Amino acid sequence: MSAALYCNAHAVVLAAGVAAVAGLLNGTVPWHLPFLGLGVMSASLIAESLASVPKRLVDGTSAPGVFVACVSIGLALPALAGSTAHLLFLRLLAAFYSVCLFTGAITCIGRRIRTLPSRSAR
Amino acid sequence: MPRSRTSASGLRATADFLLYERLNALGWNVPLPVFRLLCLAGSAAMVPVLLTVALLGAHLLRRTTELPGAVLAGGFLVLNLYGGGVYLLREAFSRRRHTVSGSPNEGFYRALDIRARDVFLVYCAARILSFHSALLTVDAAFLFVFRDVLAGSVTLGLICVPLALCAVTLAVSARLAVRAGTAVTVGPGVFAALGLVVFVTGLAAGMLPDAGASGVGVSCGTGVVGPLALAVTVACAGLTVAALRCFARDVRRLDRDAFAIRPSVRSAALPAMVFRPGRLPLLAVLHRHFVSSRTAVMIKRTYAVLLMAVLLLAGVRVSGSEVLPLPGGAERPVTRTAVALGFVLLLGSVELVLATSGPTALGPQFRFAWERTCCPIVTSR
Repeated sequence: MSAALYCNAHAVVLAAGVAAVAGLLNGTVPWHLPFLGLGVMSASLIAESLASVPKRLVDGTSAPGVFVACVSIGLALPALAGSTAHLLFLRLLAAFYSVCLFTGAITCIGRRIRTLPSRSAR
Repeated sequence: MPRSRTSASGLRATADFLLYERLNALGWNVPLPVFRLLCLAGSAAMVPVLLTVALLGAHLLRRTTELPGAVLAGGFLVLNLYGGGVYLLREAFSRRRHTVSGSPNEGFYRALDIRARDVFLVYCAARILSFHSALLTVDAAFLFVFRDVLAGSVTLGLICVPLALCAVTLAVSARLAVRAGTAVTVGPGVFAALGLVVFVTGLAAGMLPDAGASGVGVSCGTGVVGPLALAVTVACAGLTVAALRCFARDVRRLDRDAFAIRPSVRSAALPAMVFRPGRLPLLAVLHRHFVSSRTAVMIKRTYAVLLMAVLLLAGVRVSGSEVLPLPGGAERPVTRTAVALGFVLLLGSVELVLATSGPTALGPQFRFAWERTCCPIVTSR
């Protein structure tokens, strides 16, 4: 829960910044952009949690993987498509999809942590 | 002691390491020589395939629609600026920034005496040149098919744009390779002063058009295309030369002070989280871990750039100028551009955040925290 919240907070703040810039240019703030941030980060969290053997580099950071990249972009694309649509209904649907992805990310990270082998105290 | 020439064996070892990393990412169980052959064959086949597809697409476009030269030139410029610009953003605002300086394998390179210039040439320069070669192939096919519509100085001006973008990307990548890990942190006072200056700049910029409203307007005659194309050509040529000079200088510097052992950026006085929710104690730990990581600098800079852009535009809006907001017809393209740019920016930022604070990087720590706080039964076994 904390991990999903913390990572998503970064994405939502960044997307809100872009929305603020677009809002100052246009006069109307694209409210759906923070939801796109939520969707993109949640999609990446789900993909990383679903990777069967996640790879780590020598410094402990995660190694880039093709599976993770493809799944995260594939999961985030509906949110992107809905955000670019002009119809309000589609934008609302994209926002709802992003919220669903967020709850899915919390579930997936929880499952990942529970299924890790208990060797963390090494 | 630095050597003046790049040996072929150093480049080959670096290229093999890159291939091994790709094999690892793909998860294929293929011998390295076979994978090398596959990559070489794929790269060799890419150019004729891309050229054929681009020629077919351009011919199809020409047969199906009758577009004027200005629209074709505008479309060409927009596609090149968008493709090249997004690629440049990705080089500067994603994990690629740490390909050489701040690389996770820095110690490995140092131990094996692999030079930073070799790593830069194999990882960054080859990647950038491959992308821009593909872009130039498509551009060449487009300009060949529409050669009678886009003739003379316009063609020269158009072909200069992707070349300038390629040179700028190379220069930015070389600069990041030299000093990505040696970021100087700016204090809150300096940051606030900078924000104020940016806001006042926006305010002044908003007042300028109103002050000059009674002045002479800009006239766009029909004969403006030629001089404009010439101006674009000269500007792009100048930019290309300047970028290539910076690139050459930074590549030389890479040889001189590559993979230097620098003092660690981690310190005991890391800033704590201002807001600490009691029910989520792990948030403070995550924040501390993220702030001490090398990717945090990049995310902070992105926040700073966005904040400065907001302050600048807010200054223009506060000035009461008619420049902003943009006219009603521009709302949809601006929103779509914001969504597209935001998506690219988010992909890069997400990669940077998750590399150090994601479930893979901190999985064992999360598990440990869960065992200690949420599931004491596991630890009591």
